[in-house]
Amino acid sequence: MIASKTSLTLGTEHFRPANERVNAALEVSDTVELNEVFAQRYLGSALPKGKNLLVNGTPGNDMACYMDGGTIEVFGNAQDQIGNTMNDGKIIVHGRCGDAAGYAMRGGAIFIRDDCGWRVGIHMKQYESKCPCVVVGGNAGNFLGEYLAGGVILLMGTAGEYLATGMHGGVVYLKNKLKDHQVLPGLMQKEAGPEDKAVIHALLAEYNKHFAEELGAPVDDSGDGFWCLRPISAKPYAAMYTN
Amino acid sequence: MLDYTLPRYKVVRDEELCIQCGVCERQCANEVHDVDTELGKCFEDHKACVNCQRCVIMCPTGALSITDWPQVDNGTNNWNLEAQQEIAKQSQTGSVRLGSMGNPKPYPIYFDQLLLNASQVTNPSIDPLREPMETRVFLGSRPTVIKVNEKTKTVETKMPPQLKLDVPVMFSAMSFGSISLNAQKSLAIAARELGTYFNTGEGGLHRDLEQFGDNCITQVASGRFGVDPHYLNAGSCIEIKIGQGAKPGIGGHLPGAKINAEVSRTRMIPEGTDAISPAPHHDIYSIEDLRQLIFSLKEATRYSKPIAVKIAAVHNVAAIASGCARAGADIIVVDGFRGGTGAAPIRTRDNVGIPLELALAAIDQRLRDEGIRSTVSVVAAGSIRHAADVVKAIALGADATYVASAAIIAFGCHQCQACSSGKCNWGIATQRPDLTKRLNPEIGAERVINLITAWNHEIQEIMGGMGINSIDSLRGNRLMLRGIGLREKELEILGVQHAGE
Amino acid sequence: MKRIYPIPELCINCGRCEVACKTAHSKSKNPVKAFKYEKCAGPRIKVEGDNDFSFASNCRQCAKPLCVEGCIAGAMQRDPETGVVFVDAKKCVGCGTCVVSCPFGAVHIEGTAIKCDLCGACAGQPGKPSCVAACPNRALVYVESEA
Repeated sequence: MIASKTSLTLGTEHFRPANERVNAALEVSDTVELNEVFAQRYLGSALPKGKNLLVNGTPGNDMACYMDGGTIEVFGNAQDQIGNTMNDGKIIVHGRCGDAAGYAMRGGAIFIRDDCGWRVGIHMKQYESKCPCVVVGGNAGNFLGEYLAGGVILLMGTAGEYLATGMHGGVVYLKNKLKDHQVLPGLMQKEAGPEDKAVIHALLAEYNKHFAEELGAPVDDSGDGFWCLRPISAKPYAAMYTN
Repeated sequence: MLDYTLPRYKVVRDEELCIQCGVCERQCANEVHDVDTELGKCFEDHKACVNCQRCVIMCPTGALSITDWPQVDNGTNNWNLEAQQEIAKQSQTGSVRLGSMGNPKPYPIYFDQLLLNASQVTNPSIDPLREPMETRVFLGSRPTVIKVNEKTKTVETKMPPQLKLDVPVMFSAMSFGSISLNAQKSLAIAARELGTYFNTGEGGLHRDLEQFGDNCITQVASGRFGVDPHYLNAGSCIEIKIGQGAKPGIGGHLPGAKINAEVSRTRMIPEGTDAISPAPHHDIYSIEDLRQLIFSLKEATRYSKPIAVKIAAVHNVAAIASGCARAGADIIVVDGFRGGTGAAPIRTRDNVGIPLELALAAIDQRLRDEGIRSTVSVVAAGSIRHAADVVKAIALGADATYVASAAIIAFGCHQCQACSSGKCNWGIATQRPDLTKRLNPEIGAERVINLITAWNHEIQEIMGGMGINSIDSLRGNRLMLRGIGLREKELEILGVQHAGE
Repeated sequence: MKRIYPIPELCINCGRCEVACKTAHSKSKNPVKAFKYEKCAGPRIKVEGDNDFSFASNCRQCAKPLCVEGCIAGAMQRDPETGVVFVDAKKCVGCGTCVVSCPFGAVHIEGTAIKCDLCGACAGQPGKPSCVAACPNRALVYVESEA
């Protein structure tokens, strides 16, 4: 019999016994609320479908690594490497996140209310019905979407430098048009078309659902004025090598 | 433009023996042979030949052989024909030259300059036919202290997860995509039969091979292809690939042409797109980051499997290995500069990295000096060619060895170094169904099992000859080795004395 | 009785079975002499298809052979004990009725009828089929099947 909700207080407990308690709680409850989270790492690692974690405090690095479903909602800021190699599920951060979020992400979605750090969304990839999404409400640091092989990154604020170097798949939606020199060789920037706007609308409608109240007002979710960054070729290095 | 590149090989056909059966023509994916039965003559496109020797072996009358293209060097030591032809190739294409397999340059092979001991009088030899010889090895981390309950004869300390090997040889990483499914299947079947492990490489685990999970090491590389909780839990051990001996410091690149439907599904990327593994893991920029990745995998698998870290043998490898051990790795794999690859830039393959023997000795010594050798297992990889290499590697400090080239040579690889073309005539380094069907996994597994079984007997013979009866007594036992023709510095790094001392 | 069966998934269209068959039925048992100097009959097994799909096809050693039924000279026979279908070359007049009777195209005429005889030492006796031994990929198997 699955209990409705369990609450745990982590305090300054080391991540290993803390995660043992969290995982044990997730065996008996579908929703586990964590209080006084003081930077324990690996919270929600390999979280399976149907399970929910509510994090009050600041989670440590590598939160939701290898996440496989379910949801994690952080009421505060998240740190580095959230959603590492994420396969499915949803992460909602009522704040900002650190570096390297969504590394090698393959499915699921990450919603960041405010800014994100460097190296976010590196080598995201999509396959058949799995299409990972990262939505950032604020600004991003350098190297956003490096080696992007698939999936969607949506950025409301400004991008840092070296945006999407090595991109060979997927799309980056930008509210602010990039200057010509920011569009790296092998990439092309176009205005969002009707299909793109539909995707943007769906993502921003959800962003508003999570964050509009605390922001004071919803963001414009029509997709008007957005730009798309895509690679020119799926095989950017084809001519570079010879046998 | 006029093409300066010459053929590398010349096909020699003994007209007396040739019966124009056409086996050679049908078997060559490079379309070298043209058996014209109307004209009654055979024609060869020598330039297309890569010297894979498929036609040589398949010819029913042994009428074929391959020689060097008979164009002589101009006689200079540095501007030899090969160096000039490399320039011809690059000036023609403007591209990075790709090659496969391991470093072919004539750097010293230290294994061949190490000699093994044998018992004579006071420490008698052991006859492996009469007495038990322990070749079983356990890989994993060990606690520094063990509490034993003497009354019940049980170990009270909780042991970290271990791998159990019946022979001190495992099959090193070769990804599905770089090699065919039939090749991986051959290794999986052999690993199960021999009581050892095969490695998925960074291409994920094909669902047909999930049944071999108990004998499987799954690899997590920078591209994280196919990595999800199902994959992480499917094998018995997880290996983080930091580097590879053939191409230290750079990433991997599987061309879109080699990504067919099955490779696409196993790696979970769209068909036809390039599969790029970035150079570093972009979430590992320091040793602390590595520790974090190791523990993220331990957490995700609830500490049920040992975590290995594979590093390439480069400068300061001893310090790197020490860092990996302290970062929480249970097993450290060191891959020497002769390790093979499906594709690497030739300049990197031939010039980057250091020999396995030196790296292995340095790592073993450094971990002992720091008092942490017992907390990790060390696996040696990179051109282990036969049983004596295995024995010497263990004596230099390894707990076990990894082979890859030797295993695929067992079922047909002839080291032609043209893997990146995707036209492997032996059905190994290709995804073309008309080629992969040439490798029957039943036969492939049988050949590898024969090879490793023979090696195991040889290892037992050599150990018996030394007067020891278990791998444990051989590990790091430098006294069983003597160098020959080595300089002071080399002897010092290897930690062995010179023959005669 | 045991019969030879091809496995298309394993057949690599090499043709070594054909070479082995012709050689095994030659006088010299040497492939070079058999193909270039002896005047011996062609192989009794034939690889059909191409590199993408192929298998080696030969006589099915039918329990109720149509070639035996059609033979006007009584040369084509089936050994009642071993089940092997064989040609008595002395009786064969080369009319070709067996060729058109066989639904598998397993017989051809070179003077007299030529077909798979399971490499027996003498007519009607099975032996160790050389095509099976020569196949590099185990795409031909020699296994017990129904009588």
